[in-house]
Amino acid sequence: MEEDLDEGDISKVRILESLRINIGEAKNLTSAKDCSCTVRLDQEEVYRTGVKEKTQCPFWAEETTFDVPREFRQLSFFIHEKDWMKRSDSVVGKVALRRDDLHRYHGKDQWFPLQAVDTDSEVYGQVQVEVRTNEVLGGDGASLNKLTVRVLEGNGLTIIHNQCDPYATVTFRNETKRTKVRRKTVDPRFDESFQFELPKTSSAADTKTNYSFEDEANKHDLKIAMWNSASLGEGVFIGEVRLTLAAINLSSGVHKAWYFLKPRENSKQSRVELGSLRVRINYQQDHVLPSQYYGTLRDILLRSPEIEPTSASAVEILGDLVKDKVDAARPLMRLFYYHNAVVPLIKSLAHHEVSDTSDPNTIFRGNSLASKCIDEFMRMEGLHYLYDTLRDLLENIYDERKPCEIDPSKLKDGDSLETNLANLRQYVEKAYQAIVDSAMGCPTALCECFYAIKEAAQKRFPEDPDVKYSAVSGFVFLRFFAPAILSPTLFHLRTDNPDEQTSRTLKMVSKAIQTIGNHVNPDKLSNVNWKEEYMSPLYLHILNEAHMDGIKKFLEVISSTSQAQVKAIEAPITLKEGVMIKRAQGRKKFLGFGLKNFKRRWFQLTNHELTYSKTKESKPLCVISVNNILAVERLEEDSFQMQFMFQVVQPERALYIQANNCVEEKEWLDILFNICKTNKNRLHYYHPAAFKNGHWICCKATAETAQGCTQVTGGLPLSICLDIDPDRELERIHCLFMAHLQKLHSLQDACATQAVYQGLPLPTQTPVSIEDPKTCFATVSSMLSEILALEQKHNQFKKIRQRLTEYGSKQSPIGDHNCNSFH
Amino acid sequence: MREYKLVVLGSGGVGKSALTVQFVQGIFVEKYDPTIEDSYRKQVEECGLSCMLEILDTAGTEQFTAMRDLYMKNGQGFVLVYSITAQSTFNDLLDLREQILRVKDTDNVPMVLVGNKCDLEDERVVGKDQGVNLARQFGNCTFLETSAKAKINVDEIFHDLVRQINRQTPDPRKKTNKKKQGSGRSCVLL
Ligand SMILES: Nc1nc2c(ncn2[C@@H]2O[C@H](COP(=O)(O)OP(=O)(O)O)[C@@H](O)[C@H]2O)c(=O)[nH]1
Ligand SMILES: [Mg+2]
Repeated sequence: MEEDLDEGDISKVRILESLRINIGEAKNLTSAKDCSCTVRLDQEEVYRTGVKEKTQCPFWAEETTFDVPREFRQLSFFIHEKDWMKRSDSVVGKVALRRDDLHRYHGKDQWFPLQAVDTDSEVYGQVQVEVRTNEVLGGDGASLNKLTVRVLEGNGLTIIHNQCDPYATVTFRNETKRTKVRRKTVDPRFDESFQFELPKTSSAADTKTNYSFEDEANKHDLKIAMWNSASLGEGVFIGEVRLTLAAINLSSGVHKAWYFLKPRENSKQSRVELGSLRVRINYQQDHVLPSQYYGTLRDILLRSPEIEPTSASAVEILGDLVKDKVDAARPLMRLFYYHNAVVPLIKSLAHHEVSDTSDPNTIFRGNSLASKCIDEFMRMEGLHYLYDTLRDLLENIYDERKPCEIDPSKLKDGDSLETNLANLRQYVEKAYQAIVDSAMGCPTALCECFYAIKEAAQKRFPEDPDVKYSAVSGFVFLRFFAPAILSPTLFHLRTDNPDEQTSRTLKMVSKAIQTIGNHVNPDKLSNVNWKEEYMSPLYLHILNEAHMDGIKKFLEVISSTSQAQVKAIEAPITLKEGVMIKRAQGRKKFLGFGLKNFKRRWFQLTNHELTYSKTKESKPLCVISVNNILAVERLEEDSFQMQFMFQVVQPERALYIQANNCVEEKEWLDILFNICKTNKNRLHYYHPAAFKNGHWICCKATAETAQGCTQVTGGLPLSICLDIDPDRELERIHCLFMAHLQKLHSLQDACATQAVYQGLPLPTQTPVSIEDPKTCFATVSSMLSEILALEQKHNQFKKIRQRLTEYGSKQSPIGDHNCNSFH
Repeated sequence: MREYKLVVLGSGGVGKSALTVQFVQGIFVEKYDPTIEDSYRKQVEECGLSCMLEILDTAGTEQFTAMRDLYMKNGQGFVLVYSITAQSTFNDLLDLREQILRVKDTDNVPMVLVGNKCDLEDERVVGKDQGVNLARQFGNCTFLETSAKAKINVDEIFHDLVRQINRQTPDPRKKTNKKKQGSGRSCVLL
């Protein structure tokens, strides 16, 4: 890795951002209405919570995770309340955070005061202006200085009430001039120039070189404001730029730059208390270098399962360094998954973990690297299996809403304990049956992983006949089925949050399943009697010999590697579903362009087909086999004047679909794109815009069947791992090591010292006990040199990028220090 | 009767259920399944007044964090448990406490730090001084080394917590009793 970062490589460095947002609760809202909270990237809503009824302190505890699909400056949260009279939402207040500040709140719950929302301060977008001074001859023959201001274009302006018909005004001293109105666009092109007279100065030379109005600088501000044209009266303010000529460098006579629009001058933020909002934000930005730079780091990590002792392996060292083991487990598992090396890793981690456990009752119960890795792997490999197993059960519980409360102190009036117990029993039996019946459907790789766990546990506690069951059930029940039943949304099994009664039912079913899953031995039966009393009548029924046998058999099957992998006819796996808008596919030549051609539909993508129907429950109106998806591409916005549109190209025609927002658009495109990649008939050329009015908007070809005019988006080579980006995971791991560089250095020192003083009492106290100083030293040293080399590449990259960024360009407008944010 | 909502938190396997059941039922059982969420009610006397404790025994695994927010919001007093035989369970508590304070939006939350399994002196890896120091870091909260098995300091945890809650938000009934009770007792209001 001695060679310098190539300038050409710069364009290959990818900046990837992801957000995990946890919307906790709000408090002290000014009124108790029905409220919800939305998350926005700049102006665009990307997530909306459920509605909490009639409360001044709504509690949501909802989480959303997504890759950021585009540039954004500001992340904001709006609290909306339902106004039944107006049948619409009104905004109570907001919290706005600049992207550049997000790292300050990383991973911690935080309360933010709500701010008022008004058009004077709700400002987005940017504008390009050109300012020049020139001398002209006045009517009396004397030379006059003129100031010419040219408003070129705007970009990403604020949308007010779904409308944006912008115009600009230019004000110099007390004189205001305005452009024409541009209709229906947030990116207006004006290109209009305005001239103003400059005050006379003693020396003409001065004016040309560096204009300065020393004393009156502020009086001569130049102001460019944007307005949203209204049919009646004055336009609505959408942002402005204030310039001081003194501050502009006019040495070349011309100054041309992009500026961020700002809130209105003198707009006062009202200091009224609107309440506050608690959120937790994880914002991650990775600068991913081209693959070749990560080769060595990858090899060191992938070698981990072979290193003896395990504690001296790179993976285990990483696990020791980071505090929250999930941070390490996630990228590690994705990397190992990509390289098809998960099982050996889990095996070595599991053996290492049990060697540290002295009580078989606490096996795998802590939050260790091993348990987090297995947990992560179950979610990656087992989500479809989970979905197939629990879907019907959850649908029943959600739809039927039978009362199941069996705690006498919580019983509602009119409810009968017996009926509720019978209801609950029925759900628990159904859950039990679904789970034991699913044994053969458990993915092979998961079975291998459970086998490794079982083996490790048995080897460590050979005298304990039940430990092999409790070790496996500690994952498959405690960390998989039980939490999935408890919170289906967290496992993407449902998109809707359960109401209070349903939540309670889910909780009891989850507890019962966890208890059944842990009972394989009648000797331990009496123990449950000491736990919550109200649950005993239920346990009396469900903890019987037949169930114990069933659970044992289930655990045996899913933890054996020799099981005949004869899966029944492979059931289709749902990959993604949700509501989107699609354009009528009719082949009638002259479709109108009214909105009636666009309809909301429920889309479902499985590994076999893409379908849509009127509602989730109804029969599909259209079925497109995956083999007939020849290409999946974005659709140019101009085609229908609609955002977030993409096309699914089939042999006969294309289906045009509009996603709800940029995040969903990216998610659908990514998954469809990956599905399509596996298609042998996949197209190589496509039309980026629609076929309308008898021709393709993009290439003007008149035959609807004309071959595409643009090459399809190139992809990475086909791989089974549909959405793993190994370089990105390696970059994450690199960052984790960098964050603990100091600890890594002291570990290296400690190893060196212990290796030298082998057998002698140690001269200094070492922070950790090191099993095998020599091996550990070797691992740490190779890792350190690799991490530092990578970091150097990053620094080079940063420098080059800084050099290439031009302040005032469209990518980096002037004035990014005053957006509408808190602080 | 005044109700007290208490929450027992800590990593898996440290003895949260063992402590709770020992306190509520007076018994120690060698093996409990990992908990999802159990709630118990127990009536106790504190300063001559009877109190109804509602104790929430929670899951130690992080799969259940969505629920954690809710009981942090609703709980009035918290028992933070680690095992003196496992260093990592001790390390986990810093973040847990921070999250409670953040959710509650205050620095003053009734809390007891508990180092459990003190009967296993041979397997001890977390020194008592470490516990004392952590308690100091936690704004001088109460610290107890306990054993659910040997029944050491178990009741003390819950009684101390009730007293802390009383100190923070005095029992309204107390005012009327004040004269009768005199002022010599430790649990009298400040
Ligand atoms: N020796 C000893 N073992 C304990 C003690 N408390 C709990 N245990 C054991 O530790 C294991 C886990 O206890 P449990 O209460 O289920 O932990 P939880 O996950 O925190 O609820 C069980 O096997 C208990 O028997 C204790 O004070 N001393
Ligand atoms: Mg427990």
